[in-house]
Amino acid sequence: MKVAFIRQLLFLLLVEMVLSGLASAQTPPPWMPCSGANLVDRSFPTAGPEVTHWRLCWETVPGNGLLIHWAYFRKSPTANWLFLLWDARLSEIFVPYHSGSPRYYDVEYMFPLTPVGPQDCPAAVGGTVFGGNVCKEVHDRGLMWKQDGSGRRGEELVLWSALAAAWYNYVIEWAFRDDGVFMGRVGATSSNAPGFPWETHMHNPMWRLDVDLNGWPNDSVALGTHIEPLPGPSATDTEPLFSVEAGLPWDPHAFNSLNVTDKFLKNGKGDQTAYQLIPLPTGGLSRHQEAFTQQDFWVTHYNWTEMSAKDLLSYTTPPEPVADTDVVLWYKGSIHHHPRDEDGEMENNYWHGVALVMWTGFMFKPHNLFDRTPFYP
Amino acid sequence: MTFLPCSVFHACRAASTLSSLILGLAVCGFVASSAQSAPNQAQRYPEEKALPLNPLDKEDKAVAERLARSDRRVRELVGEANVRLVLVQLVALKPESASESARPVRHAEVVLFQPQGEVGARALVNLASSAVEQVARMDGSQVPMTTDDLAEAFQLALRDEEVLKILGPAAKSYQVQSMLLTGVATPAENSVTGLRIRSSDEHDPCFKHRCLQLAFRRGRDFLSGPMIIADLTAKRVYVERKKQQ
Repeated sequence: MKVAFIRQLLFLLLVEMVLSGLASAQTPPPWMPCSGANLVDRSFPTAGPEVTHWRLCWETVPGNGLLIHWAYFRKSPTANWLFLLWDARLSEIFVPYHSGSPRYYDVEYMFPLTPVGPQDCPAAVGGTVFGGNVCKEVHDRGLMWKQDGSGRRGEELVLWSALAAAWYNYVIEWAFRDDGVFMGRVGATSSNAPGFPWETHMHNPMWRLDVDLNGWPNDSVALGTHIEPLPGPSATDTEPLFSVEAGLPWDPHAFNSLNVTDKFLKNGKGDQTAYQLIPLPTGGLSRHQEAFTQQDFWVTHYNWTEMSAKDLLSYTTPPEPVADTDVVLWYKGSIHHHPRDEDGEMENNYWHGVALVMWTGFMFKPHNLFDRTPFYP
Repeated sequence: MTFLPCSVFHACRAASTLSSLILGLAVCGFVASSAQSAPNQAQRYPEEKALPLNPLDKEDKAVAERLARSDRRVRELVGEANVRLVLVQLVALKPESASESARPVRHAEVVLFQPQGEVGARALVNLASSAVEQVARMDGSQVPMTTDDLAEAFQLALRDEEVLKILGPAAKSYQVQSMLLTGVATPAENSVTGLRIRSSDEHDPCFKHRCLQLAFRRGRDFLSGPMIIADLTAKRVYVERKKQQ
């Protein structure tokens, strides 16, 4: 009798410990300044025990289209939530034509968003339509890793909407991956310029990323740089810090990236955590006579009134210090649109057809955030 | 220290046998440890609208516009008559403090434009305190364009004989494209839209002026032909043919 009682007591204590453990294992979600459909809360993987988790707010506005606010990432259920982004937006889309004119500023007109429906955001790909013009997709993103006979596929959450910019549509896409990567893309599509449909031109989306790694103070930015002097077999990597505001070109041979660090943020191994802005150009990056297009990267000090990419030169003159403070990253991508027969044709003096989506974008990738990848057994 | 909900307390008291008391303690322990994690996640905001980064609703926008228009500094910049509303948007303004408890306050940015003087005003409105916190002057070239500009540009174009010739008998059937697109354009619909244009040639009027290129649409298709550019500053229309045409 006595033994049975002790057994029962021990069993119940064990139950209590397990239940208590379950309740306290997960770090509670942080307060969010948004709610309803504008609050996205997504854990990964979508099936099975949680590994990583995103929480963020989104909003749509005429002109800039789809904005991301206040994004957190949690690298494991027991880890602290990492504040990552205050605001991410498309600041401008500059479109100069090869003959020198016209030169359009597509965000400076308060263009509306196009309708989005089940035809382009189907549930079959994990799509949900919000407000008739925003699509949220949660789906497979392809292979995450492969090692001989084993491997794993990854997943992502994608939010997108499309700006109706006269004869053009611009798809504005933000992706939040299970591995902590955040991506931005713009896709140019719809009709060629009706009066000169065969003239080659450039679409230059410029993103403004108010990155607040681990909160908004104490951030610094370094230019990730690979150097391989030739002739010679060896290479080195350096990370010179931005001390003041500046614009810099992206050199594909130097594998340049903008590496953001917070002086207090380290992983469990004591290594400095960084997030790296890595361009993902399609074909190349353009240069035009306008000063703001003559650099690919810009780093500025946070100022809520500084939202327009075309004014970057004035924002950085005179340059303010940007070390160990609140920083904003800017990146210019380019889409070189050389019209082709597939784009459409003239019918009775009207241009009829559609240019298929052409993409450009960037990746914002964690470096030393995890102690090891949590997706490998 | 964690206080348990009353119902749980009574449930604990109701446990009469030793084993059920132990079971009750286990459940109480579970609830208590759950409650420990609650303060951060259980913040209740009964009015979701009060959350600072939820989108502005019509009422918010009306309040922000009214506060901006009635602000003395704004009136000094743009006056009171014929002042256009360009935008009312949420501003995600950072708190001055970076502590975890610091939270953003709901703000709106209001941009107003006086087309006669081509001057704009940007007002930062604190919706929590109903106060205009900042006002800044904007040159006409900095002010975004809206359907008001498009409507004005279209009216200018309709007074131009060359444009009327290009558009033909359908000229008057075009409607200014709304800011709210609700569906797929039907072939019968004639609409006019525009793109902001800036010249890189300082001798071109559109180097400094507010210029808008018009595009005429029938259903999904766009009318081809010369570029029709409305110079809203000079109140003129330019019809330009590109060389390759």
